[in-house]
Amino acid sequence: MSTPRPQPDDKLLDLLYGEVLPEDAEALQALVNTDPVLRERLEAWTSVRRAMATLPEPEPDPQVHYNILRAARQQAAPAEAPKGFFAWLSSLTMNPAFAGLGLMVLAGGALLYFSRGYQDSEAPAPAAPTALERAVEAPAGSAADQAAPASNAPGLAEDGKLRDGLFAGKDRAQNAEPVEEKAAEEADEGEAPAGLDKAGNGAPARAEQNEKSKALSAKGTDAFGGDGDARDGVADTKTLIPPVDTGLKDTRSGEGGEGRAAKRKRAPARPAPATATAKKADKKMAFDLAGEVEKEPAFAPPPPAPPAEVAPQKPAAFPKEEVEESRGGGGADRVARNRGEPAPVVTVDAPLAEAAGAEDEDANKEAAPRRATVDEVAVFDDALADPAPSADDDAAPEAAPVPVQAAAAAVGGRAAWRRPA
Amino acid sequence: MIGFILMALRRSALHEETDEALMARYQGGDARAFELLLGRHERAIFGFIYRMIRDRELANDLLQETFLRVVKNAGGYSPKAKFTTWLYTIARNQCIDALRKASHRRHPSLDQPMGPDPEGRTLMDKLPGVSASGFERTDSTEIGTRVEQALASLSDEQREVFVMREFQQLKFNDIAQLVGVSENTIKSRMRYALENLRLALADYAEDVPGGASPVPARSRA
Repeated sequence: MSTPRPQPDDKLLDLLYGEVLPEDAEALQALVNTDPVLRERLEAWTSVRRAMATLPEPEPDPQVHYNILRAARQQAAPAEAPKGFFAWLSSLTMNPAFAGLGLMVLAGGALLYFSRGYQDSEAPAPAAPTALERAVEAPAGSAADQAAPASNAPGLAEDGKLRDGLFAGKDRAQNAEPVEEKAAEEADEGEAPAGLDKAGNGAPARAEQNEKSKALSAKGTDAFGGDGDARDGVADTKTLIPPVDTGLKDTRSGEGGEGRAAKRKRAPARPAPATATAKKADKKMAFDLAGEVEKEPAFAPPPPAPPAEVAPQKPAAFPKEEVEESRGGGGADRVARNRGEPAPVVTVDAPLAEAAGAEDEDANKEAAPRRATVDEVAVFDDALADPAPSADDDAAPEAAPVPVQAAAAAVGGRAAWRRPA
Repeated sequence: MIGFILMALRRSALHEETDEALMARYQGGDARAFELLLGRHERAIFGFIYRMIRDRELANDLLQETFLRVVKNAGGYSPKAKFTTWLYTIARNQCIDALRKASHRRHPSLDQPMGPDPEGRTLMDKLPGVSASGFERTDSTEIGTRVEQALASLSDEQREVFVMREFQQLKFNDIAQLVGVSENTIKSRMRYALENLRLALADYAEDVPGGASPVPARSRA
């Protein structure tokens, strides 16, 4: 089998269009010069090329250019679009059905919120007589002694001793009465009891606060370790007033702390206040208590177990050394700062909580989830700003090889012309 | 300022990229790369389609459809294949489909024999010259018309090869790969196309150089 010998005209075509190899060009040109037939043919084809050069180049419609570019950008948009949870979330929000569903959920949530807010606004009302009762039962005592009945009336019902009964309830850690904190705060303001040598702040995470108080109560100390930040106490009052009220009623009806816990269990446990101040208090208490508190979240909702099982989950008492250490936290300045503020037990002092959140730098740090969202958006913006891969990456994503004929078949064409009929 | 400079550098770097690299960038979502590709090949593809179809409106439609198919099938493009080959393959298939659809209403070809004799006179042979004094004396409009008529007189196969080589500057090897035939076949078609054009334009030249006999478009290549 021999390869087909190249025709002289084929070589002439190569010479005409400049595809002849440089080393063959001179030999071919010499051949053309010596052969008149080849020379005439070359001249004839050259004249045809000159005639073709007179044809103007057709210009496409600019609208076609625009349409193509628009389609190309639309096609490239999915590659530039962000991926991940936020893209999925945004796609959901763009869906009218999901948007309607979201509106319904929002409306339901708002309705539930306002309905419960109405209950809350009614709930603190019975606490006002608590202050009166406090004034009646212990008119000559110190401020701490005045505050004690308000928060620990169950103890009074049991044995009539004020300080021993303060922390007698088993579920005090669950109840986490801010009233107790207010009482402690008032104790700071007023005469400090003999056993309270230092007006530590302790950063009142409610559960830990009560646990500390329980420990103090067990040791017979003057149990006002629950002194805390007035802001925290007021903020907690916002959510915990109904349990306080329930406890008072239980006390008067002779029920113990477990009864209150049971009522708490029957009532849907409200989620822990996610305010930045409360979280800060958690952090501080965790720091003070050297990790023991971290084993049990202070703001964790009560477990759905029966009340008898709830109480054993709480630590029975802290060692005295830890409690003493925790009380020496140096929060007296904050207490003093709130000294001039009216701190009614039953009022929901939102401005105080807001002010606390605005003043506290640590509280601002608690907005980390939002910042993470902004970071996600920043990453997304960066990806949009430079979506193209680097030059090194160009060769990396290599698609499956598609031969030319396969590409032709992919677009529905044929491999060869067919003359129309 | 630095961002502007970086952007300018990046754009200049994009202009120096090959078609394949730009296509890879477009596969990665860079629409500017496709814009460059479109700017490079839009007019050439339109010229190819227009000279094949000889209908400006239809050529615009086919041009749009060609690049839309490029956009649609960009994910399946492999940088191993030459982009121009892939692009012209799509455009050529568009032309084939359009010519097939228009075949039933197509005007008779200028090189179609008027009688039963396949080697007989064609309609092109009966067209009078606009200027009897030769090629050099006619104005540009007449020249253009006559050249386009001569080009239209070629068969589709010959015209396809001639347009690709003469106007699109594709090499014979690339044309052979694109059309799917051997390079010798491509050169043969090219040679016949040149001879037919020379004969079609013979009356415009004062001195028609001698050459090969006219090549019937249908009977050869």
